[in-house]
Amino acid sequence: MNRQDLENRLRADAERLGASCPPHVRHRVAERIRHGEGRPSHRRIGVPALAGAFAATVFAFVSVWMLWQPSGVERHDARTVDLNAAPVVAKSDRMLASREAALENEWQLLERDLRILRDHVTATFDKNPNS
Amino acid sequence: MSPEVERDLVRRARSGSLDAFDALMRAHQDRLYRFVLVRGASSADAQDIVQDTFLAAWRYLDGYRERWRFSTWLYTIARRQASGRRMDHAELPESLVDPGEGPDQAASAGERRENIWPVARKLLPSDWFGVLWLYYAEDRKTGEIARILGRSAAWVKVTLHRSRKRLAELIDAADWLPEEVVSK
Repeated sequence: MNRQDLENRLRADAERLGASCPPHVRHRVAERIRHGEGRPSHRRIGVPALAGAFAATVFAFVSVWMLWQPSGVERHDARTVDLNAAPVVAKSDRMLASREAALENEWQLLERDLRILRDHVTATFDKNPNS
Repeated sequence: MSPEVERDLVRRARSGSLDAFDALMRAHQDRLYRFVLVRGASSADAQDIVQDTFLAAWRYLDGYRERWRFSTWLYTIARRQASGRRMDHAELPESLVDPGEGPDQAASAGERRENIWPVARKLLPSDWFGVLWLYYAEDRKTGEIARILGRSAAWVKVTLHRSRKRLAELIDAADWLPEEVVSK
């Protein structure tokens, strides 16, 4: 059987196969549609849409909150110590107090070292004025 | 039904006209029913599938795109509706009896040949038969068949070619083999 014969036969024989859908199927569909099991007239807001709207709202709130936050460096006139110049960053009064105390301590140690060095130099020149 | 009339009915159904949708159902119900039957559903299952298909079509009518024929969209829904049911009838159901092969007609035309579709249903895998049916019986293009079956167009073309080839080979073999050999 060549292709043309086969195709002709497939088409012709398909026409000979008939099926009639019982009318009660269509009536049942119409009945169910009339009883409200039908297409919604308005698009319902589904769960994904609600979740998306909620996420967008949260994102917006967080963005605004972050924009209103003060910058990380709280004191632009923060005290610096020589080469250890670094802004004093404190996120709370408590951290700020401890950091100021640490800097004060470092400052005192540095002053002591300088005094020792000065005394040492002075003593050296006093002992040997020609050097 | 002309495409213009069908488009108008779809438009009216979208705006809520049940009469328009009823006209669409009347136009497509028999072919849709036949499509489900030849895929292997029992008569009761086929009726349920057709009913569920029309209900889903009504519910999601806004989602129908007119680049496809309305019947193609219905077949796609029906195929999805049928996917969860048993479709294992290897033979075409009796409700698809060839109208031209009733006892009277058969007696008056004794030489009438056997319908090829029940033979194809027995010989071909279910997917292959579905492609062949949609192409020749439902007059669908390969792109539409791909859409309905959820396959690629390339798969449809290859399957169509293989189905034709296998069917022709088997029919040719049956033509010259003795009946008792073929039946084995």
